Amino acid sequence: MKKRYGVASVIAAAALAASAVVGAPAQAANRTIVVWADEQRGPQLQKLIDGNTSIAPGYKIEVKFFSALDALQSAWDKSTAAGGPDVLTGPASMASAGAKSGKLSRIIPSSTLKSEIPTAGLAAMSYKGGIYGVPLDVDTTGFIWNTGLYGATAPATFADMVDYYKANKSAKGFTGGICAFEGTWGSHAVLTALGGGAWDYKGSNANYSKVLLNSSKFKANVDKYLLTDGKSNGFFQWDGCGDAFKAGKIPFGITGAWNFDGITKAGIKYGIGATPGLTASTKGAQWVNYSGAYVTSYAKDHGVDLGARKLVTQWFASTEGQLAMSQLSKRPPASKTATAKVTDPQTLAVGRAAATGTPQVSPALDNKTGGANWYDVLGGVYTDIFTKGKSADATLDAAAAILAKNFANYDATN
Amino acid sequence: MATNSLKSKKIGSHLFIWVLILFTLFPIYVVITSSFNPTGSLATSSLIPQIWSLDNYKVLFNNPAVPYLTWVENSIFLAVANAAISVFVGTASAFAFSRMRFKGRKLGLQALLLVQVFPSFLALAAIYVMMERVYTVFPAIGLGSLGGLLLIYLGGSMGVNAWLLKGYIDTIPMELDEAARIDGASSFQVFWIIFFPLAAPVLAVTALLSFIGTFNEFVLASLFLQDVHSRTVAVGLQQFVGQQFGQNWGPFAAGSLLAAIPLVILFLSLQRFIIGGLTQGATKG
Amino acid sequence: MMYRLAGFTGLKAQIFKISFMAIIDALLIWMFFASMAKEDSSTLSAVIAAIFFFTNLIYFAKFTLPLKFLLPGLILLITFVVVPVAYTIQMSGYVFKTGNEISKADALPQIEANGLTLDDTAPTFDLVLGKVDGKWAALLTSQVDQSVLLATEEKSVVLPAGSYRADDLGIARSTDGFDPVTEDFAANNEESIINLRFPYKDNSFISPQGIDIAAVLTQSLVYDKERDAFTDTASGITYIDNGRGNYAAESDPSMTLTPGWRAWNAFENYTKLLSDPNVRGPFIGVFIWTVSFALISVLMMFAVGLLLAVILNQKIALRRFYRSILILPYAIPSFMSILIWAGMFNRQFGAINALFGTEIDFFNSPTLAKMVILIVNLWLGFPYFYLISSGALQSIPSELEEAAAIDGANNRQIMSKIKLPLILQILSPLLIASFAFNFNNFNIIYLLTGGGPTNVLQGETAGATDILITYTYKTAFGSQEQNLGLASAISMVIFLIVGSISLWSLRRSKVLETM
Repeated sequence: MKKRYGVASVIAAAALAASAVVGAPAQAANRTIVVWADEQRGPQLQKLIDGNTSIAPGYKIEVKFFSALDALQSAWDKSTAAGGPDVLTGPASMASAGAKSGKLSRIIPSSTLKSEIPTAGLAAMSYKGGIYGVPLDVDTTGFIWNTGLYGATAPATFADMVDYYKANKSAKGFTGGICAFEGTWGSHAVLTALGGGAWDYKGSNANYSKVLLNSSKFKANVDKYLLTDGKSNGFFQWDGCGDAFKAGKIPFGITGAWNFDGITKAGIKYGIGATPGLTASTKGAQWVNYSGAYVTSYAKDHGVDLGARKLVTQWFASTEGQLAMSQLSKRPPASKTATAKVTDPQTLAVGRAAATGTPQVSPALDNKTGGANWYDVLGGVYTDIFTKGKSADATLDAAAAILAKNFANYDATN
Repeated sequence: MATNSLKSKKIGSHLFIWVLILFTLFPIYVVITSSFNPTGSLATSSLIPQIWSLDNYKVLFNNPAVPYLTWVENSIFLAVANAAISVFVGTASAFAFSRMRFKGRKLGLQALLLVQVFPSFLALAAIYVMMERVYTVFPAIGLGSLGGLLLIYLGGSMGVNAWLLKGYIDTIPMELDEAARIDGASSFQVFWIIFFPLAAPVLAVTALLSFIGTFNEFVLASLFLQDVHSRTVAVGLQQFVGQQFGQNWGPFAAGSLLAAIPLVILFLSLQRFIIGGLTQGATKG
Repeated sequence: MMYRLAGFTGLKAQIFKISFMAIIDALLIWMFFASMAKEDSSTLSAVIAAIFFFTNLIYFAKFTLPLKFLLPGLILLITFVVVPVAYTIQMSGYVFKTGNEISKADALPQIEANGLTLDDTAPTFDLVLGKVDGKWAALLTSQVDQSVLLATEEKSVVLPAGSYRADDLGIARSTDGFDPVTEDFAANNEESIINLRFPYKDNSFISPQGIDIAAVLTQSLVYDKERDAFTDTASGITYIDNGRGNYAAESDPSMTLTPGWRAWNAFENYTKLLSDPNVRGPFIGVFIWTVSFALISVLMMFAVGLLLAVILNQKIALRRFYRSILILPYAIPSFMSILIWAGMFNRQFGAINALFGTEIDFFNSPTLAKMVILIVNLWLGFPYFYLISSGALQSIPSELEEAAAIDGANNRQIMSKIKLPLILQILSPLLIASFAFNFNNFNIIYLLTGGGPTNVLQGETAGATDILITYTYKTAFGSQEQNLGLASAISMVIFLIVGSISLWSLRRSKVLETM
């Protein structure tokens, strides 16, 4: 008997309580465009557009940022329409993967946008002929040298740097000659300065069937500048050497805008330029990558597709938006008009260096048909040659064999 | 002869212990010296510190990009809540498995064991999709919230705790609850009034282990807690020190040290229970 | 104690129980309605309803006493462990990787959208949305020559200059018979706007690409619902469902349309595991190292822990002090210790190299990296084994030892013939649990070596110290291309291995019989 009362009273009480809550009128749905960004861009975007309702009238913009680019990538990889973003910002590699999986929507660029953004920028945002994002800014490195050590004038040739390093190594306690702060990615300017690189070019078109990493010119120059009797001469550093540069133990470096503050804080004075090549007129070419803003296919599910498109094509791509972002991030903007209006000297210097760079074709570099991608292969090469002292020629040939498969596969499927 | 071999054995014992102590203390020594090294990077740290400073500790408390105290709060919330709730709920399950005979009991225990050995964090993508759904309806217990992560931890610790605690409860003599039953106590009362106080020391140990386990977890937490301010100490420090050890080595050492000290104190003060607790589960497991 | 309890029976207990249940029920009912109010959350609603139903059934019916105790744990376990595991198992039967992630229903409209070709000969337009006779219409200003079109869903007409009013930028804003809508109104009617197609020329149409911009498109890829196939109007190629999550050209199966979708293909991932040399090759090597890593780790930790327990069980000086120090590694959060060890083994700056004045590159040699992992794991794990061995030693009745001593056995014999077998028997479940734990010890590998070194130049895809779980993690999430389907299949294999080892040893140790 008691039990029955129990059940009845519980249900009654519960229903009463619940209906009181459910009965409250549901909030009017406002259309919110959710923008995802990493820990660097996120706070900057939050400052610029979070809560904004005027860029895309009728929509409210909400910026959500992650604790790291890895965290952003990981969440984006797993996201679905239920909680995914409407606009995503991040490196160009997101464009191809997102487009392939149908997580990004195609963007039809207006005539103005097409004329504003460099062709290489739009190409970086493309997949199978469609454009999936607008480039925000340029991710690239510049060559820096410690002016306190080397003097105000930049070294003219690669040989100048190596000679300076060898001459002062013991006197100044150098632990290296040139430091690629960003590891294998950042070291590309050194490869190209010495006649190496990923793939060759026919005019301005990439020739993926010719791998440059084992070109005879590069092999000879590695031997000449970076090795002594087949062992590393210590000039080239790529693994966690940034601190040594900041401590004045490495005179030359290759890095981007994100490290400048830290170097200045460490009390190092430096100049920015392009990586010296074999002759005074040639320069090393660094990877030039773009970060982009993308409209996701979830935006349609969330009913904010048009607003998201407007935000991306008319704020992120605009001169005003790009300048505002560049001022905070110190990265060179992608659009031509905005680039022309940059005044910050560091941003300008990196921007100029970028002009000599090589477009970073991420899907080709990330391809691992041969067993490993470009970066991992390069890591293996550096370890084998410079740490383990293995034969440079054989190592480069083995690496090139893997890369040839990767690039051929990319070329065939794209 | 006999005394001689005994003596050499004793020396051998001490030698073994001292080698082990050096082995144990070496990393701890390195953390301590690194945390007081003002330059803060691995490259400039030396075995015997030249200058002592509190700079690394200041970074933890004054740098807005490193909300260390918030991380500690988050970790403590998760660890305490998970320890308390999972031990309570786990004891209830363990009680049923230990004291009651019902259909499917043995099967249930075996299933529990199997579920535990599934490499559960490989179900990461599944958990993500699930909690993303929950987030759209109940943000407080969905993706990105401490509440949601707590629920996942609770689910994950059920199996282990029920197994461990069943072992302990088995060691409590049957006569006690029989006597209580004769006095007219219900099962719930037997559980609440007899078992809980009796098992208090082992519950404390299980809770402590659960606490440390939660404190340590970073794979789920790094996927789940996306905002800087909702990170735990584990995720925060791990991402802070990053791939390149060089740069934030000093503050990392300082942060680790501060987080570890309370745990070590807790652990040392409970060590007597821990020895008993850990094996009791096994002896009757 | 019993008396305090007495007060908590009868009516009071009943009221307490009822109000407690009422709160729980109210919460669940509220959650149910809140979830029902959202779209696409029928599964969530069903879960909440099920929890509501079982909670009430179990706490108000008499026949389910054990379940009353089990239910809270059971709900947590099923919802947050069993369901994800079941989902993972299900995923292992899908082609589920980069390029094949969304459902077919979601993929279809996107393939169609990707089949829209921008008419390069036509300009893009500045768009002003409005209504003509209550129906959607658009005032379009060409961005190239600033000519103006008035478009309805039936036709589009060029407006002569002077018949519309333009703003400072030359964008036409209004004309007779055309009521512009506000941007707010447009935003709130987005669903109908994105599907608008204003006729332009023969096959092309003007489509809004944002609230104030439009472009001229043609549909070059046409879907045939009957045949479930796409036809390219330009080349005439037909693409059909290839059963593996893509539309592929009939003539050349390697030509596929993007995006693909996750497709059910029960054995694809498992056969790949067995037959694809890129997957199978590393799998065997990784498996061997996983087993040896787990086995050696447990044996080493157990040996050191047991020896320590034997020594510290004797009355030696400073016993408590030793013990307090030696259990420290167990008390320090392991993710911190592992990262600290990783720093200490650094080639250039690590404390180990500084101590010996060397520059050994521990993490670049497979053998050294493996040794580092075992050493660090020993550091992390021996205190636990010391603690459990110590407990086991203490639980051996001293009479046994005395009896053996009387029979003339010396200390060593007592240890090896009597104590060791007993300890092994007592601790075997914990040893096995420890083996299973190390088998899947993701943290130590991931934080210490990241699975490396990987000799990629020799064609290795798995690192020398990768164990199955880190290898799986890399496969699933590690790079630009993720393969959740394959990773789920590997998880299943790991599960079968570890699960059967655990179950087998549990049976053998006869624990189940005494349960």
